[in-house]
Amino acid sequence: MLLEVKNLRKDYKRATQQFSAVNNISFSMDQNDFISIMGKSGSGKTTLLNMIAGLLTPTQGKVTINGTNLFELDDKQVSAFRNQYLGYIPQGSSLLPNLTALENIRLPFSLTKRENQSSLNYALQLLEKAQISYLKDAYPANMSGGEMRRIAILRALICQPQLVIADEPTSDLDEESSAQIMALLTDIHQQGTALLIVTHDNDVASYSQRRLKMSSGRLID
Amino acid sequence: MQEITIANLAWRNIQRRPFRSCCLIIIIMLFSATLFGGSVLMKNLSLGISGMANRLGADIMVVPYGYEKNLEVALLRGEPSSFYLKADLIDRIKVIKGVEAVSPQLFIASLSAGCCTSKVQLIGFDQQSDFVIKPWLQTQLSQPLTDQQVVVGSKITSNVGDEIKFFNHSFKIAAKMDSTGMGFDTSVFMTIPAAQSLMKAANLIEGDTDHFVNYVSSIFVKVDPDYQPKDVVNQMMPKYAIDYNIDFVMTKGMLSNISKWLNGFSTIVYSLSAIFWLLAIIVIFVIFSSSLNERKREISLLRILGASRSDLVKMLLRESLIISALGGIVGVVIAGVLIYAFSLLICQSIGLPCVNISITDGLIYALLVFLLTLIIGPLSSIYSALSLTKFDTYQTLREGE
Repeated sequence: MLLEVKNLRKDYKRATQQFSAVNNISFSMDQNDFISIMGKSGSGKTTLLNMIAGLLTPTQGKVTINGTNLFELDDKQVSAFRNQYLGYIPQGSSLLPNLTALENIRLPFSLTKRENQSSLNYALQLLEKAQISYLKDAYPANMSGGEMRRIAILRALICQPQLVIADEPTSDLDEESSAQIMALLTDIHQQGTALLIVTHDNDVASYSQRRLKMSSGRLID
Repeated sequence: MQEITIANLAWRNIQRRPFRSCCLIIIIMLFSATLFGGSVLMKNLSLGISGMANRLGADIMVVPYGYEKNLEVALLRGEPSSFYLKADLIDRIKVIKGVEAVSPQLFIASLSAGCCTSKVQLIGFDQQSDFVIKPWLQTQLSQPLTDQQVVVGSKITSNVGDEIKFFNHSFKIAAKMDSTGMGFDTSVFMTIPAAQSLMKAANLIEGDTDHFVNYVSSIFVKVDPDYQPKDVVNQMMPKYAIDYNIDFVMTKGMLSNISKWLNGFSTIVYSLSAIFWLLAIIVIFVIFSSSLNERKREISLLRILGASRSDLVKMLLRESLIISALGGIVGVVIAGVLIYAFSLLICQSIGLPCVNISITDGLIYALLVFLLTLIIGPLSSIYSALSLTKFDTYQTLREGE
């Protein structure tokens, strides 16, 4: 089992009232899975995703990836773990404006110490595979929304993660760009990387093997 | 192609905001330049005056009443001056208890006219009794100076063997002095008879011109180590002060006045440095704090990609450290070049002797100033760095949408 989410809960206080953004969620996924989590805005999808990525500490429950409970690790360890095992594609534009496409793609690779390795060839291969090699020296300011999103996807792959998490990967994109993004993600899944995406778009969810629905912080059938 | 690391990301962030970065570097540069330049200049002045008592060799200088300042400026910066007192006082001083040696000097200000090579202080000295000039000769004279020969100070550009002209008299340079850090460096020394003949030629003494041989400008007195210079002065004062219309310049007193001035100068330099230091810290603190919101998104993104909080704190501190280091280096280099080029001019305009500090001391000063400069960045940005890494990472990224 690649990912196991067990009794996960996250409570927040709104004014004086306490509420659970994520309420007792459990599910698991294997290496070859492609799961989409659907739900309306405010259903708790992103909070769940952030806990799975180790960015948010749950009120209760645990997240295990490859047998490692993320919440038993300290900040340095969980950051290194996220860098090594997870590829995260945030919602919207998420590229650093002062780096070129190639540099943005290679950025995560250098955040954890790796000896005698270079990410250059692999980054170039990824650009070629995604048929956007022409963007390698371009800065985000000179890219379209779809191009930026594809660069963000390639950036999530640079450390060759076992699990890629995407938050609304096609939001704000036109139909053609959305189709290109989903084709790229499907291709990534077919190459053997597990995929977990959060979306409210049925078309996007249709690419996945399994759909989970969330409402008011709970998984519903 | 170079990997994009947290370290070079800090550098890229500095490059991304060139105007802001330059302003910060300039503020830090002001501090390091003031502190380094001021410290070196003070050290130069301090070195210049600290050994002056030893260099001068005399503990008391007797001058005509009212000419104490003229002697000081002549000694300190070689500003040409002429003043005279009766020479028979020399024999009277010699017999005073506690006096070890006495030597007269005769001061003549040359002119920057056709008669003279340049306007300098000409000093006639008595070769037999002299204990002030001889120790500074680069090479000992093989035979006593003749009346047609002179010894020149280290900053006089002519060389040994050259001819030099004063009041239409030509002199041959017989020797050159080592650097004394005093007005002697720009003075020309000759025998007392040679100086007296110049006095006659230049009509420097009116009235008693037949007896100009009876005059000297100053009497240098060396006191026996077992006696206090002020006790010797106390013996001379009642006996001769009124009759000869003279005053006394105590080397130590002259130096303590200069030291007082130097202390005031150092207070200004260090106060100014402290103000610039605080100013740099405040400005960087304000600028880094005000860019918190602008940078939250970038920081959140790096967190999501796998940077730890400590990595991000290091990156932000590194940014301010680079800015500090650049400001420090530029400031020290600029101040160093200016001090090297204008030290002499500055000292001359202040009116004090200067001796350049050694390269080793200069490097130590530069290092200390640089270290003090380096502290500015991290000290002023630590609050911003720590608060930037404490927010809800993903929420911040989405807020920026």
